[in-house]
Amino acid sequence: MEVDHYAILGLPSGVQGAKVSHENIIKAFRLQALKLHPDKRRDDPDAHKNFLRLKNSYEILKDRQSRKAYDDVVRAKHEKIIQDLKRQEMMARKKAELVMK
Amino acid sequence: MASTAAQIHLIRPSFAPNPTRTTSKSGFFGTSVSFTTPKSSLPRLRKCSNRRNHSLRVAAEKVVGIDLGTTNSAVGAMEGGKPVIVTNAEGQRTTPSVVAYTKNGDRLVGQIAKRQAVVNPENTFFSVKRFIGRKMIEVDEEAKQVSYNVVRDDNGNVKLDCPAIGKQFAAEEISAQVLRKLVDDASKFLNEKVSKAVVTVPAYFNDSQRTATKDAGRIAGLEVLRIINEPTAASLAYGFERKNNETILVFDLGGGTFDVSVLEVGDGVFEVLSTSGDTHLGGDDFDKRIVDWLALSFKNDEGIDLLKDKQALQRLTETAEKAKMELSTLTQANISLPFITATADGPKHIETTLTRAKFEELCSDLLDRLKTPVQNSLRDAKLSISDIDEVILVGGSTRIPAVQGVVKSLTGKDPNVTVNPDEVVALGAAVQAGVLAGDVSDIVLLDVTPLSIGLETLGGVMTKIIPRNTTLPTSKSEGSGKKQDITITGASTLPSDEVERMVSEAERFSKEDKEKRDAIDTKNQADSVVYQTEKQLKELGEKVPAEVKEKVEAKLEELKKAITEGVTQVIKDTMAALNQEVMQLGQSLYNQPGATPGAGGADGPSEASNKGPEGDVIDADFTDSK
Repeated sequence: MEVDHYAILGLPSGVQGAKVSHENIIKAFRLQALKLHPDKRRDDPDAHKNFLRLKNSYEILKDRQSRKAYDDVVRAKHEKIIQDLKRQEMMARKKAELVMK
Repeated sequence: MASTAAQIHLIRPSFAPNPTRTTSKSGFFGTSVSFTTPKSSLPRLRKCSNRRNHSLRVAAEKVVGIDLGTTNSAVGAMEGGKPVIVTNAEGQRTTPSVVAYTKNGDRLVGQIAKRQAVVNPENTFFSVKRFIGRKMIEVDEEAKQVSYNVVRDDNGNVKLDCPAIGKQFAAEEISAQVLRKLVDDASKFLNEKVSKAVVTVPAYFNDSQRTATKDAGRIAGLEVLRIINEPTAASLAYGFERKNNETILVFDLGGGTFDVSVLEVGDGVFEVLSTSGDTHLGGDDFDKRIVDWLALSFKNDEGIDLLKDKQALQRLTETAEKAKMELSTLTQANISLPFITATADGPKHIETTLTRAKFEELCSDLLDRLKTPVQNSLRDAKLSISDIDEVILVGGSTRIPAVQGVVKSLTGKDPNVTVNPDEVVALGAAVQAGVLAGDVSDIVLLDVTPLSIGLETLGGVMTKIIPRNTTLPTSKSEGSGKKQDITITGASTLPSDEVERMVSEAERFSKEDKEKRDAIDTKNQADSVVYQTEKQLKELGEKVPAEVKEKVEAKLEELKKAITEGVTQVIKDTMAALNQEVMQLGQSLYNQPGATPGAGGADGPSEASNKGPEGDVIDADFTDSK
């Protein structure tokens, strides 16, 4: 399963995330950090793991270069999915045409 | 008539002082105390009982923040939603991190230990932070700079030799004694038991040094909830009441270590971007330059090497520190060391002047060493100096004008001077203590450890600074594929069974200490009660009914006898018995027509009507008139 770093920060996911400003990435992280920090969740055994996950996503999105690379991967995937959909659609249409004939 | 409030305990049937409120002990039957009439003390008794009631209801345990420094330590706590400095028993806001053993085997901690360092250099331990969690091989230079003997144990670890009691201490044990005093004093100041703390360490401390610091806490009977980095703590104190976004650089030059951290602060989140430093650089090194300069010129003039004379070295070091401090405000300092040593020709003295310019010349290479960590921390944070909004100075050594000059030339801005460099770390530790105790809810700290990823066991989120521009996230795994370096350090910490032994030893010593103190306090109290009672009997003369007087005198004799015999519990019991008779005496006087106010009566009438919440313990404020 692929990780959606934007979703982990509570932001719109996938290609929509790429439109979020750098400042809002920081703000979103801080908001989540105040909620998820293990100091705030003393009784949650998963707190540490969850927080590191948040931190990890933030590290990727905060760095402009790694964020761009991530966005590119996401966009490529997104485009591939759209292409696949289009191809499937085309195939379906072709099949239908063949049947018609 | 100067009056101070004194608290008096009336405890029946035994006369044991209330262990939780030792502060008030000195007020008990202090010399020349003339009690106000029971009537006037009545409302105060009530008020005080209420206050006590209140403090009992608020039962949450206090967590303090401790800045365990190389030369001085400080304690902070959250009071009324704000971090404040807790003063020590001597009324000071910082405590010298010094422990000494006298020839009699008495242990001294803090200012009292520092004061006698010159006459007892081999048994006075200072700057032990330079040795904590270190291998002997790492601290050869430091070992030469101290007046006590630093030795290597079988594991290659550092031990401090104490000839006065014929024992070798681990640095952890000495630090534990400093921690013990800090916490005991804090308990008194805050009027509640303190057993948990957040302790700060230099950001550049490695795992061994951190673990050793935690062990010191354990030996002191203290639960160290978290170890946090000193510059980070400073940023917490600085940013505690600021809500705007800022990028700050903390420049922390303490007694023995140098740390630089770059942080991003905003919306209550304190995120450390990078940290750098030098664990072998601090105020002590600046002192040492002056010491060496003095010793060298003395050697040239007199042909005597003062550095080999422990007592002379200690005097040189103290004078050097003083001169250095003076040079922060003055352009030259006079150095006067009479009778520094003696030869066949007679006594020798040092009498000279050190200018600020000369001092800066002596320390020029030290000043140069401040630059690289600043540059490294900026580089690691991927920032340039123009991205820094504020530069915060921490540590006493940042008062040195030349150090401030270096900061200014490196950063191109005037450093922030709103925080007290001696207190800001303890205040920040108190903020983190508040976070852990649940008193502070809108702040979180995201720290890094520069040398390893260890210490997760403490519950802190300490992630290694992640090398940027490395591997990118793949679609297969959740992780980013980033590498994390783990530095495995040698085991320069104590084996756990040794720590256990030290814990139990410290407990035993602390019990013996308490008993010793209790014995002295009890005897002093008893002496004072005897004096007071005899004085009262004399003053009242014929006004005292004969049979009452007889009873009092009988008990008085018993107490005198008990004092000479010196058994603490017996003294306490006899004192309680005498106290009862004195109360009877007071009551009999008070019930007499035309009784003299201000004489005799302790508080007979109040005793029945003002039972405290705990039945037989009453706290009372009395006016102590001198």
